[in-house]
Amino acid sequence: MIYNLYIYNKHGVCLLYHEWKRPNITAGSAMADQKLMFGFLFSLKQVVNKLTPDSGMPGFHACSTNKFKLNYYETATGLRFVLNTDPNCGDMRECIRYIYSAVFVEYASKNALYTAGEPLDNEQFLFALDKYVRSLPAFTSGAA
Amino acid sequence: MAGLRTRKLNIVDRALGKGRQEVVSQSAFAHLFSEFVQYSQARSITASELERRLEDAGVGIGVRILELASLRDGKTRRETRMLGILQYVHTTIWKALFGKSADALEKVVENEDEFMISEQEPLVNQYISVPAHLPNLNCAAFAAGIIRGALESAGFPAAVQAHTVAADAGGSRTVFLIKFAPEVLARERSLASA
Amino acid sequence: MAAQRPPYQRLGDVAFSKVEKVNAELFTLTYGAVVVQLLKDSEDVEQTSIQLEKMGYNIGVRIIDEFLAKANAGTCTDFKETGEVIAKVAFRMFLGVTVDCRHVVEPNAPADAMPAFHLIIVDNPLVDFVELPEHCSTLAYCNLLCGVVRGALEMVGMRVETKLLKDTLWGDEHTEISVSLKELVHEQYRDDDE
Repeated sequence: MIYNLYIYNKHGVCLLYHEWKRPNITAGSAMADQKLMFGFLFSLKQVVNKLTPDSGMPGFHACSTNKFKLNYYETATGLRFVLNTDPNCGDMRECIRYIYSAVFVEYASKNALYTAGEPLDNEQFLFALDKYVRSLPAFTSGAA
Repeated sequence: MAGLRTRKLNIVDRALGKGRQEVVSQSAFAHLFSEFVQYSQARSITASELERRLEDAGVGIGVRILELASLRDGKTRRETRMLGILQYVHTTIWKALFGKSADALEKVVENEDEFMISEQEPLVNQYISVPAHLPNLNCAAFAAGIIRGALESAGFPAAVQAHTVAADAGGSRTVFLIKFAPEVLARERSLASA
Repeated sequence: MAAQRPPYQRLGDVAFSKVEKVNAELFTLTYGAVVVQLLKDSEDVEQTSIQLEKMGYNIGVRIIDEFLAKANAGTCTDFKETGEVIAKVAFRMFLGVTVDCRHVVEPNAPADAMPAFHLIIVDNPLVDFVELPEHCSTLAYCNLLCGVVRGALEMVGMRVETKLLKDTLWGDEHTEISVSLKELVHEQYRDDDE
């Protein structure tokens, strides 16, 4: 089951939060929620960097609890995609890469009237995103 | 400096026929056009001002593509009738620019001097979402300019406007409304009666 | 020369074969229309060259994501490799042309000097049908490309300086752009940016 998606730019600005299902209702504003998520990623990345052997390339792509799984993809340009799913979803990196290449690139970076750093609220983008996510087998699997 | 260098390769020495390389990525075009829309937007206050800028830029392309296309066709005779030139724009010119004919060419029933060329998904609108503060913006004004340029340089001055209309089957299409200048209509009448 | 094309060239061929394409003339003529509009607006050759570079920069900042998402070029280990990837993969993917990359080392450069390369574009789609009139002879017509490279590299943490060194429109044999690395910008996290 796919819960929600966050997209941040390299400065930590949340460009998009989209929710399909949310397993719990957190108290607080949407903005506080987005900041909390970014703070979590920030800290997690520092831990990952510390734990990675010197010779290796740091980078994590997922972490999970018994209730959910956070799938992460960071581009060389510093865009950060966070796709939260139920813990039984497989490797979601390909899906996130698809969102990057076929949705973000097509409907945000190529869009003349989208300014980098602004919230992604244009209809074409949201439509393409929603259509793709709903088409994934993972969207309906594991429904409790 | 640069300006003092001698021109080794003059433009007339270069081939004007089919270029060596005929296609570029659609993305390169989309980004260039996007950037031009943004540049023009920064210099316009209203949507119609922006559209006029896009249209003006298109005119120069229309003039040039008409020359290039007729050269390739080996066309030696000029079109003299309205329908002839419209068909040329709708098929040959459109193909030279967009790789296909336009979707339709129709006559406006009520007005003798008005015609419509329509297109389901104009390339120039593909990557543009209309911003909230300019709800009436139609970037196909650029293609309207191309049509106007081609018509004008063929001796058919006309006003061309791009409109987005809801299609019967849902979605929308872009209609280019072409209104010929009075002298064109007068010539058409005299040719028809001749 | 081996019969098989070098890896980056093949990667560029594959990337170009997969992208949607448009007629190169539409691209070339649109670019021409953009330059004409800029000259009209600023009435200054120097300013137009600067503006073209700026527009290129904006395009570079955006287009890099498409490149990363679709070209599968992997991670470059050094600046030399970056030059190869730009020349053989990026130019091929977007403009359909292959470009040569020449690595330049200053004769008396210290061992830790910042690296640089030149991009040599023989088959430049921007300059078809173009001749610079006398009063614009110093115009850096292809400055857009300099901006694209600068913008794209900046997004992946490389601050570079680019310069249009040669251009066929200035009478040179080919278009040549120098790209020199100024700084590697490492990602900085700030916890309290608000």
